Amino acid sequence: MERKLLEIKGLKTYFYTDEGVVAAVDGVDISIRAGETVGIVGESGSGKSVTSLTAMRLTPGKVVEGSITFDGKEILGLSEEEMREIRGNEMAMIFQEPMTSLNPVFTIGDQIGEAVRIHRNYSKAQARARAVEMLKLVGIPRAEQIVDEYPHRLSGGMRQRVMIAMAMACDPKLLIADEPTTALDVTIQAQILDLMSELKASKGTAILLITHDLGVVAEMCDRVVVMYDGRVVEESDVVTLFTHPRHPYTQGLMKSMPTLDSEEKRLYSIKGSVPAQGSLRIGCSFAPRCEHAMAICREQSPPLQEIELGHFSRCFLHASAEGRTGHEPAVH
Amino acid sequence: MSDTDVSVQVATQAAEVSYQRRSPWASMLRRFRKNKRALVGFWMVVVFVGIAVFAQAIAPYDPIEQNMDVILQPPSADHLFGTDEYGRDILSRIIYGSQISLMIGIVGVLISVVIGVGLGTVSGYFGGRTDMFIMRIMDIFMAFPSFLLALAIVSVLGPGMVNVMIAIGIFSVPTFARISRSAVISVKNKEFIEAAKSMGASHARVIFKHVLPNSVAPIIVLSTMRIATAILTASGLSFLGMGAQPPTPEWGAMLSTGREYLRTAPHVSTIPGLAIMFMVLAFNMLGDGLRDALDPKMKL
Amino acid sequence: MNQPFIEVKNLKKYFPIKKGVFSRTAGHVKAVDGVDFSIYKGETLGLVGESGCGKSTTGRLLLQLLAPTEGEVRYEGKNLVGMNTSELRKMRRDMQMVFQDPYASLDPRLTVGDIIAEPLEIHQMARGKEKDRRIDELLNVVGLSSYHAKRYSHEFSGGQRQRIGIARALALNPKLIVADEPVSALDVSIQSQVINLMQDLQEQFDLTYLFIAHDLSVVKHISNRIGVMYLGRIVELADKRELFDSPQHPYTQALLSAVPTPNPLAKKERIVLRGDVPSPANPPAGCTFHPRCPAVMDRCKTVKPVFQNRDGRFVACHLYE
Repeated sequence: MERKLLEIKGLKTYFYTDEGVVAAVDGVDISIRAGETVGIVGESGSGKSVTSLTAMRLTPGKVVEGSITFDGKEILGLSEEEMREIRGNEMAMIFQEPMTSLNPVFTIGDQIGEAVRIHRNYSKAQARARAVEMLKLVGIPRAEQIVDEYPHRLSGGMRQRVMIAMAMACDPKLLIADEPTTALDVTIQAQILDLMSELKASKGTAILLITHDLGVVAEMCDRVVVMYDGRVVEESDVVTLFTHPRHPYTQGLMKSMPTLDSEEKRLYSIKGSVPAQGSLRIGCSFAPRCEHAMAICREQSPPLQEIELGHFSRCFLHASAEGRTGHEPAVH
Repeated sequence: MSDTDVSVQVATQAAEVSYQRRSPWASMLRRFRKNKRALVGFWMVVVFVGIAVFAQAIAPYDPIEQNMDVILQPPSADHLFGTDEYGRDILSRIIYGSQISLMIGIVGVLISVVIGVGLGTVSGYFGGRTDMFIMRIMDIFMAFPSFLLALAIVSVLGPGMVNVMIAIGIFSVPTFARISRSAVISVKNKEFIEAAKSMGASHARVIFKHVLPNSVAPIIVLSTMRIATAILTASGLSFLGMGAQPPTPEWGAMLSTGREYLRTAPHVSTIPGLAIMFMVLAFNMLGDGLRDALDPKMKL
Repeated sequence: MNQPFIEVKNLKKYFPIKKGVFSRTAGHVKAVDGVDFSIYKGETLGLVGESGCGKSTTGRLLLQLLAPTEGEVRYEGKNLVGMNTSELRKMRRDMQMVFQDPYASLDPRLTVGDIIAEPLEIHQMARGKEKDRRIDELLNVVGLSSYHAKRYSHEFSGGQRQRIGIARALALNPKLIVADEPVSALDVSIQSQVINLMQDLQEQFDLTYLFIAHDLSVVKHISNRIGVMYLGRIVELADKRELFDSPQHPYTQALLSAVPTPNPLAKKERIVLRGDVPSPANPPAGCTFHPRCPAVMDRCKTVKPVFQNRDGRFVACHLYE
C-alpha cells in the first residue's frame, strides 16, 4: 500500500460561542494516499468543511483532540510560521465562492504569482511567467493578456480556473477543494471537473474533495467518506459506496436523490431535519431520523466498524456481523 | 473512541428544531445586557430621566428664586454645588436644567425622525426621480456646517426654547433621511418584500408592515446618538444667547454666565459643563451599545 | 389538447443599463427576449437553464411582479399585461409564488402565524378565530404543527422554512404556483421531502405549477413538460420523457450530458461546452448559442432560428428546419 499523505486521526474541532460549545467535528479519521482523490460528502453542518479547514490549520474553532499528519509531519504542533511554509506550497485549497475568493485590487498575475514568490523566492518576472504558464495549464485563453487584468473582468467559471491556477502554482502534493463547483452552472461545472481530473492525472496531485453532490463524488473520487453531524458514518471505495451503501443515512441519501435515470413517481425521503451543528449527542445522532433505529441506538453511540475490507460503517445494524467477516446482504 | 461523553449542548431530540427559541428583540436584549459600556450608558440615562421627572421632589431649592445673601458661594453642606451670581442653588438649577436638556434633545430628535425617516423611506422605496429630488435637497442641507445651520434657523425664527427645538429638528433631518434611505434600500430588495408584493400587498402595507420594522435598528441607534448632539447644540445655542432665555436654568446658558466668574467662582461654569458632558456621554454610550446589540456590522 | 390555462406570447423584458450623471440609457440587458409557452391545467411545466438565462425573470413576468417590455400573458384567456392595479390584485389570489431562499423570503420580524396570515389579511379573506383556524389548517397541510405559529421563522431549519413559504402561498387557495428554485437552497435529504410535499399538494388542491430550477434531475422528477432556456429564449420545449430520451437542441444535449451521474460505473460521453454564456447585454447575432455550439453552421451566425412546433415538441434550431 502506498504511504499516507494526509492522515487525520480522532480529530475534534470545537467552537466556543455565546450559545455554548459547538462540537463541529467530533472524532473524525480520514486518510489520503498520494495521488488519490477522496471525497467528503455531507449536508450542511456535517462538519465536512471544518474538517478540511482544520487540515489547513485555518479553522476559527479550537482543536480539542486528535492528530493530523501531513507527509509524515504532525502539523497540529507546528508553529504558525512552519505552517505557512506548507500552506499554498505543499497543501493548497480552493473555495466555493470564486467571486469572493479573489482579491479585487490585485491583478490575476499577482495573485497566482504570490505563492511562488513566497515559497520559491521567484523574481517578479519569473512569477509572472509562472502565472502565464499556470493560466495556460488551466485552459484560460489569451493568458498573456489575462495575467495583467483584474478579477472582476472574469466570469465565475474563469475565476474558478484562476483559483485552481493559484492553488496549483507550487505543484502541491494535496489540493483541498471545498465545494469547488457548487456555485457554478452545470456546463461550467463539467469544464472544471474535467480540468481537475486532467491536472490530477498529469501532476499526480492528491485531492480532498468536499461536496454535497453525490454525482460529483461518483465521477471524481476513488474513495468516499460520508459525514453526518460531525462524524464519519461510512467510508469505502467509490464503487462499493454507490452499489452497496451500508449505513442507513447513506442509503437514504442515495434513495432520496432524483436522478436523470430514475422513473420513480415518489421520492424516498429521510424524515426530520438535519441536526443543528453540535447539538447534544446521546446515542447515534442519526437515530431520530433512522428507519431502523433500535433501543440501543438512542442510548449508545455506535463505533465505526470495518464491515468489509476497506468498508467502514458506524451503525449497530452491523453488530451481528462480527467485524470484518461480513458478507451479509445490505440492509434494506 | 468514546462518543457518549460529549454532552455539549442541551437540546431535546423530540423537538425537530431547536435553533434559537427567541424573538429578534429578545436576542438583542441579551446581547445588550452583556455589553458593560452600554449598560452604564443606559443607567446613566435612566438616572438623568429620573432626575428630570422628579425634579420638583428632589431639588432642595427653587431654581429661579434669588437670594442675594449667598451669591457665588462655593459648594457646601447647604448648597452641594454652591450658588451662582444671584445666590440661586446650582444643584437645583442643574436638576431642573436636565428637564430642559432632555426635552430639547428628545423633541428635537423626534421632529427630525418624523421628517427625516419619512423622506428617506419615500426616497429609498420609490427611487428614481423622487429619490433624486429629495436627496439633492438633503445634500444642500448637509453642505452647511450643522451648528451654523441651527444658528441660522434660530436667528430667522428668533431666540427661544421652541425655536431651538425646531432648529435642532431641522438640522438632523438630512442625517436621518440618508440613514433610513440606505436601510430601506437594503431591505426593499429582500425576497420577503417581493413575496408581499406577489400576494397583492399595497405600497403602504409593504412600507409599514415590512420595510420600516426591518429598518428601525439604525434609526434607533442614530436617534440615541443624535439626542446627544442635540443636547450639545442646544447648550451651544444657549451659550451664545440664542436659546433658553434667563432666568431659565439651561445648562448652556449657565455655563455662559459662569464664565465671568471663572477666576473667583469656577464651580459656576464647570458644574453645568460637567452636567452637559455626562449627559452627552450617557447617550453616546447607550447608542454605541444599542448598535452593537442590534447589529454589530451597522455602518454608523 | 384542451385550452391552455396560461398562455405566454412573445414575452420580453429588457432592463435598461443606465450610465452617467443623467442616467442616460446606454443599452439593454435582454433578460427575456421573446418567449412563448403554454401551461395546461393541473400540469407542471419545468423551466431549466443556467444562471442568467432569464428563467426567474420569466416567472416574475408571468406573475406581473415585473412589467414586461413586450408580449402577453393570458390567464384563462384574459391578458394580464396592462391590467390596472385593482384587477391585478384580484388575479393575484389565483397565482402565488414560492421563493428560492427560505431565509430571505420570510420577514424576520414576523411570527410564522403572521407570515401565513398575511395574504389572508391583504385580501380580507379571514379574520379573528376564522383566521387562526386557517393558519392551523395550513400548517398541518404542509407538515408543521399548530404550535409553530407563535414562533419566529429564524427558529426553523431551511426545509421547515420552505414549508412555511409554501403554506403562505397556499393560503388563498391559488390555482397556479410559480416555484422559483424552491429546493436548490436545501440539503439533499430535505429536498426530497419538499418535492414530495409539492407533489402531494398538487394532487390535493389541483394545482398547476411553473417549476423553475437549474437542477435537471429535480425538474425531470417533478415536471410533465420541460422548457430549456438559454440567454433569454426557450431553445427547446417538450414532454419530459421525449426531452430526456432524445434531446434535439445541441444546448439541451450538452446540458443533459454535463450533469454528473451518481453512478461511478457509468461511463458516459460528455459534451463539454467551450467558453462561457455570453452577456445578455450584448448577445451574439443569429442564434445566441452559436459561439458555443458543436454543430454550428454558417447560417447560425446571422439568422435567428424560429421557435417552431415539430410534432408537439418545440425547438429553435436550424438543424431541424
